[in-house]
Amino acid sequence: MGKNITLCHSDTDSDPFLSKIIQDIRTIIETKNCTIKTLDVSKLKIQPCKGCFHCWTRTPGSCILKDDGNTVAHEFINADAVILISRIRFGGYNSQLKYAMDRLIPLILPFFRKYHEETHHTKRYKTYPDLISIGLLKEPDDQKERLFKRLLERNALNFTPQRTSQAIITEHDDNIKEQLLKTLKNHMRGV
Amino acid sequence: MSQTLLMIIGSPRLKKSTSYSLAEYLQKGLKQKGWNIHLFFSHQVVIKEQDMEELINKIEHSDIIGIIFPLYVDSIPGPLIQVLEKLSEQKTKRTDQKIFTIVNSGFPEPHQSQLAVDMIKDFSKEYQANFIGGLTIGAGGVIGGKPIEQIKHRSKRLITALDLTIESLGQTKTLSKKAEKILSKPIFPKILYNIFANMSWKKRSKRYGSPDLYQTPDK
Repeated sequence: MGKNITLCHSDTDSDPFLSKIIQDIRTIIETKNCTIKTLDVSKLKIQPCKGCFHCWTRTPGSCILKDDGNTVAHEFINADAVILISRIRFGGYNSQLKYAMDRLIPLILPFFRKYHEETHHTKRYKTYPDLISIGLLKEPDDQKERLFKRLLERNALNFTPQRTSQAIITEHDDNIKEQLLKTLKNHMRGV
Repeated sequence: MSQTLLMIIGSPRLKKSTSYSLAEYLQKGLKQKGWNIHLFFSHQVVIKEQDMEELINKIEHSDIIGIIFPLYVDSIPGPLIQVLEKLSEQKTKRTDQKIFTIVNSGFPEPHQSQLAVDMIKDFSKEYQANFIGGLTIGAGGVIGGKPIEQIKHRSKRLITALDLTIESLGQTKTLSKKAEKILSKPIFPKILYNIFANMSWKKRSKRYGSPDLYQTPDK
């Protein structure tokens, strides 16, 4: 059986470059006999997290908002690997993708534990998917690239994936397919 | 001429939030110094076009912009990013505009919010304003959306740091380095905070009939 990979991405209608990268990712994954499920968060109805913590105290593990934010969380936790891809904004994901990520809080427990010498939340589920983050830039930008790398490191402390990978791709790169293949290959093994 | 501070609050809990508690404390201090203060909530601005227009209009006439928010999944909450995306399309129309930020989180270690501070610094660069500093506040549960004056007894260090911040903003200087240093350590003893925090979730769930907090509904 191939791996189940979920790809969450922001709007492609206004971004042909993003659209092309997603198509390249699809091709790579499908030729390795893995299954890819694509979530275009710009087409989903995702309200912002309300900060009510009901997903920890009232309906543990589930958000009280009934919209596609729950679909994203469900697909996230049931995937072998999750690819998060958007334009890099201020060193992080863009707002569309971040609305979706903010709704992943039900997947962890409210309780604290010590992990890597810091306080972090305890896991709700036994295993979490591999985390693959792909950020797109118009042109190289050291500051944004450094921030984006730190973001994956911090996300990994809270979502505890077994493996992480990252690619930062600029529009002028001429080896995009190689970069993508290198980023994805470890997550498609075990086929 | 009096100075103007515009604060954007990035919490969905609006006036019940810790971010608002912090903004309100700064507001009181600077109003006493004769400052004009404007407050906006990113979660309201993104749903009302009129509010966004008002924000853009008021921001042009502000000397300092304060961006105050809770840490969400290690970075800036989605709606606040949306506001910053909109603002960065325009760039500042002033040459001397300044930006500072205060990021609070439920984790006791303040440094967990440093990445979000650095993201606001990156926004400031795109917006072409001067970044004058950022405060990171850990153990935000100690404030818990209460007025800062009410938690004075729990964290004198927080009050000292905020007073220093008001002082430095009042002089339109770079944010007080001393305030940044004070808040680089937890505002409450870490071990005690973690014990209280872990106990509080079970206590809070009692009002909902004490459901099993370890449920795994999605897998």
